[in-house]
Amino acid sequence: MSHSLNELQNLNGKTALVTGGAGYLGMAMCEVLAELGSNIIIASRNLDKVETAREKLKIKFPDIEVHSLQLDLLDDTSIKNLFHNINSLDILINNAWSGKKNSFESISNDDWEYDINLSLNSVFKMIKHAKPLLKKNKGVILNVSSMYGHIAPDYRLYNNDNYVNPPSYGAAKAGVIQFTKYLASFLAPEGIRVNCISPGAFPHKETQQDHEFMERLGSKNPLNRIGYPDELKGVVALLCTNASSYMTGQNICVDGGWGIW
Amino acid sequence: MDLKNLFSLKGEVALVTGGAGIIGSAVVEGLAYNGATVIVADIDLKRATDLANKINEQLNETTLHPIKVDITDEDSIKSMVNIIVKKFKKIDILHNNAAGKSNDLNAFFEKFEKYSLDQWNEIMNTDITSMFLVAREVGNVMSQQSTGGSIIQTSSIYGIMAPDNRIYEGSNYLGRQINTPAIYSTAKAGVIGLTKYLATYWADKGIRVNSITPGGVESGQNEQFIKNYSNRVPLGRMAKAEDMVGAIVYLASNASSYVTGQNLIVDGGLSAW
Repeated sequence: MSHSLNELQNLNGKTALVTGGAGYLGMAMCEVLAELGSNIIIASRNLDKVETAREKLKIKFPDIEVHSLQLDLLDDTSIKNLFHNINSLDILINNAWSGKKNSFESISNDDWEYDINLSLNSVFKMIKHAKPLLKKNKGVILNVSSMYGHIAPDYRLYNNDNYVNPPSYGAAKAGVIQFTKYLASFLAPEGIRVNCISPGAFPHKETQQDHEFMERLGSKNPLNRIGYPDELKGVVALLCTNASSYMTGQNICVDGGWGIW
Repeated sequence: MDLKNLFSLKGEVALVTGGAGIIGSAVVEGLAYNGATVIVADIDLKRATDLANKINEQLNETTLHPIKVDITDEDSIKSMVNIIVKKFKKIDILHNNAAGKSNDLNAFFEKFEKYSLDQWNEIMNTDITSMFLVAREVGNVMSQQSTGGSIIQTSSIYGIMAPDNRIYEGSNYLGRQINTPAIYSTAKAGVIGLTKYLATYWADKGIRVNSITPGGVESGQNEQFIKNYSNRVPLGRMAKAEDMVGAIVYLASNASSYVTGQNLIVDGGLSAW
């Protein structure tokens, strides 16, 4: 058996693709995979943003290859083109997110469709394209869901409309959890493991400036605070490596205990 | 934050009950290899000592320390915790893992309609009351440490799912026909309840409490059973004790600093379908 996690988690020579890899949480995910030795492909809609992220990663981890590729998850051709440029893949992290704040009253059909397309449909399309490559390498898939994929937001937290969590978000993320389980079953014979994570409250830096809101948000979970991107590194290192070789179809909640009370 | 530090258990004192058992022996090795000082607590002191000596030799240092404990005996638990605190000054990690085997296998595997109250109470005592006692004693130590701690409790796939009794046809283990008795499911479901309760109860003390749910671990069952069981698992095999190590080290270390009250299911996907 492998004795230490260092051996179990070694990703030397592997290749990982992280959608939204230049974002607030995505960057931490790229960093942990790079630290474990994996080459990284960062894909994002904003090419300047991925290029900056690529340079940052290269400085920190000079020994690995980092590629930045443009990807518009709402554009089927863009997804297809992305995979024309990838010839080997061991790890796929479906992490990208973008969307508007909306309440149930304010959300339009278009906004609803946008959110479902981006947060759920694109996950299906990415995996469809990635599967042949992952099959070849007996790879892993990690989908990023959310605590709001299995628990409702407390509307009282969001009395300021600037932060309101749209109903489409949780619906899409719930879909991601179930889709993860579906794939864990159907891709098991191909040697592909599929898991997801449900981060709790990980507000962006700008949102963190609103101290009153941070206090309200933090007090909703037993650890009484928000989470920070580095706190997702451990779960990524667990689920994207052989340290979890007997785990598939799981959803790990990194939420300070939000969902348990 | 550097990953080596994130998962590193260097300088940490870890206590594993049932440390010389099937899962425990893989866990103590995993914790030791990631830098922890590990107390191997077991009712079988010789087995714990042999295991500790073996791994210490591999590591070329005295990292594992055997200790005898009877988890059905409150005084034995108290005395164990006292000895550990005296010697090591603290307990950072508890893997509340031990569960007792019945002394009377006929009574343990008896069908539900005839299950005796004595046997029910005995297993309740070894499999869940024992966890309460160990968590209480170690939690008392952890809540007085400024650094808090991490508690991991072993549940079971049968704490979250019902057994498919058809897989026991033609199966053989421990030299006899086996099944999963209701008391086992009941006690292991209790572990998850206790875990969540303690997670919020001790959150302000900096103690994180999570559980691990192993799928069936291959440990000498006959071929028919292994085949029957594996057939129910998406990954197509029974668990190995070592499969638990990654999840345990994750939960024990700072790598899971924002994770509490959770149940990590290491079951090859059994509960996903």
